[in-house]
Amino acid sequence: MTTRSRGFSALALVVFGLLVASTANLTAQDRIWSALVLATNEKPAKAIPDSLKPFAGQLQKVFGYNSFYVLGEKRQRVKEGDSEWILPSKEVFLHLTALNKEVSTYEMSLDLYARKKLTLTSRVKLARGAPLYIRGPQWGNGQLIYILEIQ
Amino acid sequence: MKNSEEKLILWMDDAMSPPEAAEFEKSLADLRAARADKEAWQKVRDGFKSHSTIPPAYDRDAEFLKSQISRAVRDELRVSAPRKIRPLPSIARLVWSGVGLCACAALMSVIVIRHNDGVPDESAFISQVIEAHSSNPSRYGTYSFTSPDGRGTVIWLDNPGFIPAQESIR
Repeated sequence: MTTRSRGFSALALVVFGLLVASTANLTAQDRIWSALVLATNEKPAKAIPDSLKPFAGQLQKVFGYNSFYVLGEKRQRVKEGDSEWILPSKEVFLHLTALNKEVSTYEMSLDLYARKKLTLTSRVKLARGAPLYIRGPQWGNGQLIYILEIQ
Repeated sequence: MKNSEEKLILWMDDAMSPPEAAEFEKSLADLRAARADKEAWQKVRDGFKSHSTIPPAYDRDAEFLKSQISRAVRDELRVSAPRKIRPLPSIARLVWSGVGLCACAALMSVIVIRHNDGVPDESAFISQVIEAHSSNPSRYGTYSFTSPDGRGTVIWLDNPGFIPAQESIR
């Protein structure tokens, strides 16, 4: 093998390595974190749970509550075509289907059932690090809130 | 037979042989004056030679002839020299050239794709609600926000329903 041929083979290996690395980046398994939260106003305000601390400022400003309880949370892989019931409970259900993966977003359809009644159906694009909040039914003196985030 | 003027010119140019010069000098009426004239003429002639910038005609001809000969020799060498024929590239070289070109094209594609990936796009930063439908009598609103706390999107149901506290939701 000549010196030129060795140079070509080395260049080809480098390029294929870059391609493989790029492909791996695109097919990385992202995960969706979902939580069902009960928001209330209490005096004094309760401590924010650890898993909600990244969202505490937004929750307080958007929904106007000072105390939050995590009723359930889940973190799972996002696969195109997969359909999941997110945190099913006796009264509220959120059905999530991953439709399509784009460069930086996941397109999903979601159906929210309250007391076995379809309350909301929607199609959303979830971006990484930009949570989606869904204001759900009221429960007692609090508000149920769904949080979805691609991590 | 040379006349006296021709002999005089030859004598003044020192072009005579010594016996001829001696015989010619005997024929001169005033040899001293003639030698003074000869000496003056030789000074003038030497002066012309030393100050002349034009090379002698025979030198130009010689240089021209020399250059023509060297050019002819070069042309002859050029024509007679065997032409260097480059061999056709081998299959292996063609294959490796193709691989190299493909590698360059792939590299450029990766660079361009990554560059495009880096272009800021609104959908890359904020979650979006493409469409939503709500059952009556519920109403809803959607909005996205960016704040110092981060980015977020909200689906706001105005009348999402009520679940009594006595009923467990878990």
